[in-house]
Amino acid sequence: MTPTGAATDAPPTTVEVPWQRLDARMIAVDGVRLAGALVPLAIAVLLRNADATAVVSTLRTLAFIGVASALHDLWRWSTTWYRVTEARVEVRTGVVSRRHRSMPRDRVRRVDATAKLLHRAFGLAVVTIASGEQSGATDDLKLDAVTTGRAGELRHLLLGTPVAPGGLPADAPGRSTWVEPAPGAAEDETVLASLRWGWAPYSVLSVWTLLLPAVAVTAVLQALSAIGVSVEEVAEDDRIVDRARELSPAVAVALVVVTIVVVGVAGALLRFVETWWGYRLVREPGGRLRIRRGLLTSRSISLDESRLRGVELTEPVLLRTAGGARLHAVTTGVGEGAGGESAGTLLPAAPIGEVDRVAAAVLHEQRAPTDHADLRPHPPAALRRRLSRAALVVGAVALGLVAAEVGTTGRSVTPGAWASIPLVAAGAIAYARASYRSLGHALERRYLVVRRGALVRRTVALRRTGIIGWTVRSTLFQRRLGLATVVATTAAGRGAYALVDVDAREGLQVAGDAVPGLLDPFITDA
Amino acid sequence: MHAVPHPDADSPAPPDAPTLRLRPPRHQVDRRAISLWSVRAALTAVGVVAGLALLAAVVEPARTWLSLAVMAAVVGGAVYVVAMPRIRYRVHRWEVTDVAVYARSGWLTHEWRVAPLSRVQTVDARRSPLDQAFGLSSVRITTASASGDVAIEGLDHRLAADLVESLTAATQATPGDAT
Repeated sequence: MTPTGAATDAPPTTVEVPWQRLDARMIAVDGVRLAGALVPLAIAVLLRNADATAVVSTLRTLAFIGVASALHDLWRWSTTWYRVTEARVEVRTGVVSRRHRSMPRDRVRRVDATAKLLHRAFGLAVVTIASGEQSGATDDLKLDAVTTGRAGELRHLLLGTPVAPGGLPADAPGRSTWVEPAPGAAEDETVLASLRWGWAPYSVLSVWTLLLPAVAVTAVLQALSAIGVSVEEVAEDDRIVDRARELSPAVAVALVVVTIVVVGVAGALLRFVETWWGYRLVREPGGRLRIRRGLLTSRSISLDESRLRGVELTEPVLLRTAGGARLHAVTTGVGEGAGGESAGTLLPAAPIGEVDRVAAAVLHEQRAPTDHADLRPHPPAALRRRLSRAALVVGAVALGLVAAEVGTTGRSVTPGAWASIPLVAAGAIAYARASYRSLGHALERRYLVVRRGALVRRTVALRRTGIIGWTVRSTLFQRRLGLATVVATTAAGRGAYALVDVDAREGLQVAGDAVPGLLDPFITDA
Repeated sequence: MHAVPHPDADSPAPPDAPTLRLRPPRHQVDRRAISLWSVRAALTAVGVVAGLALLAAVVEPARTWLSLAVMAAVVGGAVYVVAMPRIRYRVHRWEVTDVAVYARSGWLTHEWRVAPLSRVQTVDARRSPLDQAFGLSSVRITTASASGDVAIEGLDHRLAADLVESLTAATQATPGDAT
């Protein structure tokens, strides 16, 4: 039952491009997943007579979910077809409720190939094709999965590689479109950066290094209690409690801290290896940036360079004190990265010098605009705003304590709680000052550079040609202080980059100068 | 591009804060917008007061505090219903030039937005039931930026339709995908 959709875009002389299935090896992948899902079931059967009904039912549920998802995936494979015509990428899925999605080829901004361990074992990769639309990841076309060779062909076909105006190589009239030059033959690619093991410590400098072990331990305890295993019972059975009692409290605390740190650091290093193994950032002929990385799950991310609108440098406070930073591409087709490594992450956490070098190389500049830009600080009124907010926070905490004192008749709030107020005040003031110090902006020859953020300092260099609108905002308080928040809107990255609490006059000046003819007609000298 | 009529081109502009030198957009929104915003504010205020009153009736131990909150909400709501629409009416203004859409909105926080016509992706007029009751319409102009939308509330619905038509015509004249 080969679906034969009407090739609406093709001129009548062209033979219709046939629809293709995903790779048949996905059946094998699903088979392995099915077998894997049966393992918990087998254990459940073995444990049936043991006194652990909660565990058995959990295992059964796991097995059921595994089998169902493997079968569902098999169904998905058998009902998914795709093709690349001259003008569009099309994917159709489903039999009962059919879904036909198509994306104009000139809208394709990013082509990703991701291969988890199982996919890799069968030489497969999941290809994600993203357009420049901002409406969300649901609009991405996902091919799960095709062979890695086909993934490379798709990448070459859909991004860059200038061919005949129709999008098809001229010597292949009417044939299927798989006539690209063999991928991997790109000898003339430029390596912009490749992995250095010396960067690993920078990846450890993250709050997640200590938070993740804590979260993991909590999750394990929760899961154990959910299936009826009580930690207290286990501890009592063992001699752990006795041993623990022999330790002095200081030693016990030190032991816990050391354990968390060791586990956290080891985990962070493992994650670094898994994520960044074999990392290479290259510029391919035809204007593509390509990032390859990953040990178990390998990823290949290709970005259309003509859609690059700038770079964002992020410096979380820990990393910054060690002289490190992260680098992200500001480009259409890559939305806001959720914290860690998103598709637009160009480099692992690395020394600032290296980050600047790569930023400059990616932008075709001599020096990174995020580096040499002479950022102008924002007026002292911005600091005053932040200090007033700090005062509000401290006031709220104090008010809460007073309320607690009044509410709990008889029992007074412990002195320790009151002693926390100076601490809260010191923290709030330090935060306000750090937040103010981060504020800055500069107008470079080709870039608008803005910086903000207390705990995570973000410096964005946005190409002035990429700015497609302005928003100027001023609250009652800002107006009284002569401040404003001037926001450049763009199709790329986060969609908006703000000069927060800038001097109103200066902010407008910058906005007017950055994109001549856009905001300046509305600025008056009155 | 002056296909759009100027209903009140010479109405007095509200005084701007002296430091912000963005000139006010040329047109004011329809006067009926004050009624629209008043009704909307009244609905919100009544909802909040009713919610708090319900809590006060149900939660026995915190009744005194919640009664105080109800009274505060009544006073605050009354001020909001009376003041907000009038202030808003003085702030909300809009303008379409040959190259850009320019609008100002807000009441306590003022927001100026400008989007070039060459980057406009969609233009649509929306009419909520309340809008329809007052013969109004709001126009939303989206660009390729996730946060670059320009919205003009409280336009006469015929004017809004004309505006959508002329903006659509203007943006279709621009090639490319506006990113």
